[in-house]
Amino acid sequence: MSICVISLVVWLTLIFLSVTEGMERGWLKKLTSLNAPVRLTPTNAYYQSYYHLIDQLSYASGYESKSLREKALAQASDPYDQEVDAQLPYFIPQPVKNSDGSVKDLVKDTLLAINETGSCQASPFEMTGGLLKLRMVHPEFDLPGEEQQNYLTQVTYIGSFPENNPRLAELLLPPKASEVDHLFHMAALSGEGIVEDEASLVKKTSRENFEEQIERLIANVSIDEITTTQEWEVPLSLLPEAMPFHGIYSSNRIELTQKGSRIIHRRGKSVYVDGKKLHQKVHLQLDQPLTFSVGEITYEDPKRVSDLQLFVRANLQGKSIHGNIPYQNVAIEKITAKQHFSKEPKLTPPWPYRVGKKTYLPNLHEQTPVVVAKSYQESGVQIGDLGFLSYGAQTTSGVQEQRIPIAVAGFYDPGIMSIGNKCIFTDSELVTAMRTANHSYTLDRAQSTGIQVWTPDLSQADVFAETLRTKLDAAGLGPFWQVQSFRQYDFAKDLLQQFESDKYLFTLIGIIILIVACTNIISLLSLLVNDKKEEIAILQAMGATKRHIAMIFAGSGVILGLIGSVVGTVLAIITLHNIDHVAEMLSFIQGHEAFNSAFYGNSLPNELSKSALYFILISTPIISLVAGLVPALKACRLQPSEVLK
Amino acid sequence: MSLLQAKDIKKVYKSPSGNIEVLSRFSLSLDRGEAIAIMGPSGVGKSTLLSILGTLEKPTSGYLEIQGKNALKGDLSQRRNHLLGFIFQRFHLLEEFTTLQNVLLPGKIAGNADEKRALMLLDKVGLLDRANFLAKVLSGGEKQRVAIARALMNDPQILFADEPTGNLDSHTSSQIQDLLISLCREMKKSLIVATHDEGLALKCDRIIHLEKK
Repeated sequence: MSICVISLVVWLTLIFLSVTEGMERGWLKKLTSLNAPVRLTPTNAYYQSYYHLIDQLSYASGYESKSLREKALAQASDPYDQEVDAQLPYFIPQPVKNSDGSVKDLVKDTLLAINETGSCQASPFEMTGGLLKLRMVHPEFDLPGEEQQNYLTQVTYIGSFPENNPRLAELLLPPKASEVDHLFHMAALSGEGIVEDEASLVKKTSRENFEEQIERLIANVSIDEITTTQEWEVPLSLLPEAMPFHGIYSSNRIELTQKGSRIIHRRGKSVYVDGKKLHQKVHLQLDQPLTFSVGEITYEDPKRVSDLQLFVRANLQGKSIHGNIPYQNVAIEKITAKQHFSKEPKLTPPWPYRVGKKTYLPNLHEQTPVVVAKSYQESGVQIGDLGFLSYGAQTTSGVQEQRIPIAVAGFYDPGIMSIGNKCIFTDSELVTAMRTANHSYTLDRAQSTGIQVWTPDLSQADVFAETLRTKLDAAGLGPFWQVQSFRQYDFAKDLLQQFESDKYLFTLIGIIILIVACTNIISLLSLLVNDKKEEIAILQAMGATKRHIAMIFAGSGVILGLIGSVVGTVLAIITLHNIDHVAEMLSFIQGHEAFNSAFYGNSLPNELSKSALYFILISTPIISLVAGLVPALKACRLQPSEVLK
Repeated sequence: MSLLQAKDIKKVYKSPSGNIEVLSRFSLSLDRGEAIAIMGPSGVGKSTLLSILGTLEKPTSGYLEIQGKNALKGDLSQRRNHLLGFIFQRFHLLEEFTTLQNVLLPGKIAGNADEKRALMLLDKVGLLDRANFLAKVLSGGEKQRVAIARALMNDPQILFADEPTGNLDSHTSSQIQDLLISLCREMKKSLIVATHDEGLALKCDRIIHLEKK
């Protein structure tokens, strides 16, 4: 009985703590995957430094201030040239100098210091704002050859694509089969006119362009399965010579179906129904969609997608059929897309891909690639959709709208970023350009740029930040940077604190219910003491000391506690292994989803938390020992002479 | 020098209706190998006296010395284990254990479970063939024989027997009495026995009568 209660409590506590910890780990991972675990943001001292201001006054810098990224790439630390540039105004401060008299490079020296602090990946990031307009083109089923257009307009944050982020690959969603299908269809379309306000007919792209894009797709994706649509017609060549099939025949249409009473077969280029040759042309169709496995894709001088020939194989009415079919009225069902390469491929895929440790945006020639949050998928956005980014740029004649043509290259999981779904990532150079010129969206300049640092292990982030601070101070760079670890991020602080206090709360509740469960030991052992009074007295009369007696009962308490913890732990491991089934059951009982996936992730964490296990394995024996001591004291206070009469 | 010496033993029980004085100014001196019978009407305090002398209970006042050492202080358990043996009216064996295990019990507590000695003692009480029987299947007489063997296990100096034959029929009773007395004589053990049985009392060296005040 006691064992049951204790194991139940142990089970419950372990699962509670494991799930909370797993969730915290999951959220932390999401939080620090996009927003690096350590971040350096320039302080006001940086913006007022000679190093930052001098670019606006130097011919070598084009009289424009530079972003952190540009500073990291700039040739000279001090672009000012007395011979060319005008005399400096009085308010420009004196430069911070190295011991050799040269101007201290605040960005390059900092990056160097970061690399010296420990193994990590660091890169400058920038954030700006703009208007995103996407045109979604979908084939019009009613009017073959025509396309339907939808528009999506949204104000977004625009961040520089963090190509050095070692965890980026986990955030990027792999292309789906339907998206590859879409890409094939989009390959034929031109992005021309996309930046215009007026909706215009979708234009076809040039044949060379089309062929190039098809080549690129075929090189980077292998199509495993396709499914036919309602409109699909069986090419006559697909039916093996003289092989009979069941079907229904009416006027100019034959439907191949198992239920059909007519026998259909092909001989040469003619169709025979019940052995009679048909002289007119018929449409050969299927009663239900058929799934083909796909082999090689061939084409010759293609102008449209339907010019592609797919070598397919399938079973129709139990008979194997195979042959070439055009890419028309079929949908791609299953694909394997290449995303990781050991070296730069000759034909790069039209989605973000990884070479070694770096992740690259695809080169899309006419458009700038952008990666958008996965929530856009719900609005029907697919890889390959075109559109533009709009922002107001300061020109001599006032603020003028600039439009940059873009194409959706992929989707990412924003996790719990504060600006979450409203952030897109694109080429860093574009972000720098927009940030410099942008006058319609001003962001807090201290927050919208900085250096992100990814440490290999999250637990090292705080130590890393501390070491880095000391190092920067020592190098005289301290005043120019604010170093923060993820625990100090504005948008994360509250959440992380909440997790921390949740964990304490759960632990406290765990201890309380453990104590309640262990008091069960007190009642059980007290009954046992009452029951065994005579034996206790005999042992005492025979010379057993009080300590002997007490140890017997306290020991039983500990053993009960230990057995309970072991049983509970085993149950918890089994439950965690099947947590999805448990969640399904709970959802079924509740009648709606028990665990919201936005909050808990796609599946509940199923790893047993080590700290929870230690907590249980240490606290249960202690609590049960204390619980066992109560009856033990009662037992050894027994007067043997009162019992043995 | 006497083996056990009791001086002015007094025992008062507290009860809601007032204090009950069971023993007052009881003194006794027991020599090595001596057998003493304590007699008296029921409720006079025979068992209490035995418990006090056997250190199972403390007197309200008075002094008790065993082997020249104060027996009211110090490690009573160990002294009980080594010097004293107990036999009870209701046998008090561990019912779920075998005869042999019961006899071995004091040895186990002392950390010296000498099985040979236990078997020897079982032989002496005539139960060697019952060594592996569970205590609960034995008859009353057999149980008391086991209890006697158990009391002798750690080779004690004094045996305390509280109505050892009170729960037995007269035939078995006299068998057990003879066994107890003869074993004590043979092994040179002192014996203090509280009893109603005149026959048993007469077999002892000395009889002490307790009387109600």
